[in-house]
Amino acid sequence: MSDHDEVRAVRELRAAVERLPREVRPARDLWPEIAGRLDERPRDQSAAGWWRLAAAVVLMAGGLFAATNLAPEARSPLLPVAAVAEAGSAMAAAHLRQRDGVLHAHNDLIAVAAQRRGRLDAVGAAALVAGLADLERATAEIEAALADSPRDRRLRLALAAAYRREAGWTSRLARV
Amino acid sequence: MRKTTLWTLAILFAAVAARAEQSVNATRSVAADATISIENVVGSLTIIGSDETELRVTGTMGDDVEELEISGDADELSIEVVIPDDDNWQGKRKVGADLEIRVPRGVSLEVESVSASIDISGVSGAIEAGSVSGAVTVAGGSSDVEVESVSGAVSVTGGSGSIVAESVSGAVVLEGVAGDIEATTVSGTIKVDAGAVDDVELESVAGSIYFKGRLTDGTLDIESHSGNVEVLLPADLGAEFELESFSGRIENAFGPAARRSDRYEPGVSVEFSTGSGSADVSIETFSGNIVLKKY
Repeated sequence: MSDHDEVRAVRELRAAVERLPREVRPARDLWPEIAGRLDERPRDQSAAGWWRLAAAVVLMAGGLFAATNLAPEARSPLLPVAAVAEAGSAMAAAHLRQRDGVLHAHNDLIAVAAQRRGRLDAVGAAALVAGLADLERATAEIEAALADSPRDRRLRLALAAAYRREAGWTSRLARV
Repeated sequence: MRKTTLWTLAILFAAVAARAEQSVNATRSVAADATISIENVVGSLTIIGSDETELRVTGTMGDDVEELEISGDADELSIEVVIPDDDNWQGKRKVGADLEIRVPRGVSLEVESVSASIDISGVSGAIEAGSVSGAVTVAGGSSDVEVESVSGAVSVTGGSGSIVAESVSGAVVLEGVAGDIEATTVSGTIKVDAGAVDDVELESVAGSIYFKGRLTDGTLDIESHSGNVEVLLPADLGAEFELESFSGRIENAFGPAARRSDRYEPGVSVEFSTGSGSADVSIETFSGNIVLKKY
């Protein structure tokens, strides 16, 4: 190959490289597979600092309410929080402890509601428990998604909203 | 002889059963704009607004009801079905009361029950009604309505002004309503078929949300976690729209298709405006689908 040919080949190669797209869009949606793999690896422990704080605030509010309003004998078994418990990481364990506090407050409120009336019927009591489980499930889903995408601002906002929602419903249920 | 004995026993049993109910018939003078609070744990409450100038309570109460206590004055009256103060009455004692209460149309009501259903109609004053497992129904044009139930259905028909409805697992149904609307549920469905509305806030965790109504220059704000959202708005609506879902699907009849919000993460969203854009529509879900339609 002469020098002239080599220069021409290099120019053509460079031109070809410049014609390549800056981004390559996948032929199909790869997110489900990525999300599946993310689920398999340990959760990012560093990303959860601020919402641990949010959980702690909710916990403190719940604990304060429980301490000032609830009788000790009102305690009842915890609701299951399968999504959080299954995560298994150190972060999930720490978070689970915080969530335990919130759940204690929730369950105490159910017991208090029953005590106050002494007449809460089975349908209403079951609806309360199921409603709280739904709230827990929704929050756990957002927590799991945020653990996978810790920089997602919308998820952080959604989780904060979920904690507010739980706190709001907890206080509503206290009025029952 | 044996047949006669059986008949006698049957008649005696019927007589005892008949005694298991107390009939109620009471009247009180109340002001046209009085505040009336009513509490009945089990049974049913039917409250009817009328042009009469006095309050009338009729109906029946179980034999174990201690008394129907009516206290207060013409401006502030309280009606309570008093039942034994112990925890073991449920299913064992006859403490239910089925009452019909006629009130002047302009009174304000505060009504509370545990499993008793509450049915209110024709009252134009403010209404607050709550139950644990009983259904709560309000019809007939009150300006301010606040209703809630844990597992019972909540229904408001024809109100305007400010309407707030909450449930945990019961359905929330608002029909022919106008003004400001706020509906919240955990797992119950929300269905709103409204007239002209100003500001609307609908929120659900797992229940689906349906909204149809004429939005002029107010806001429609809908949030759902996993419940699907279906919204029907007038085809000529001028509004700014924001639709967003983390893992749900978005169908949009008013503007462009939703796109992935971030190249590396899931979630679709779309923002656009139509016409004058004087109203604001915001719909957000986590995993629920969003369907926005014209009518």
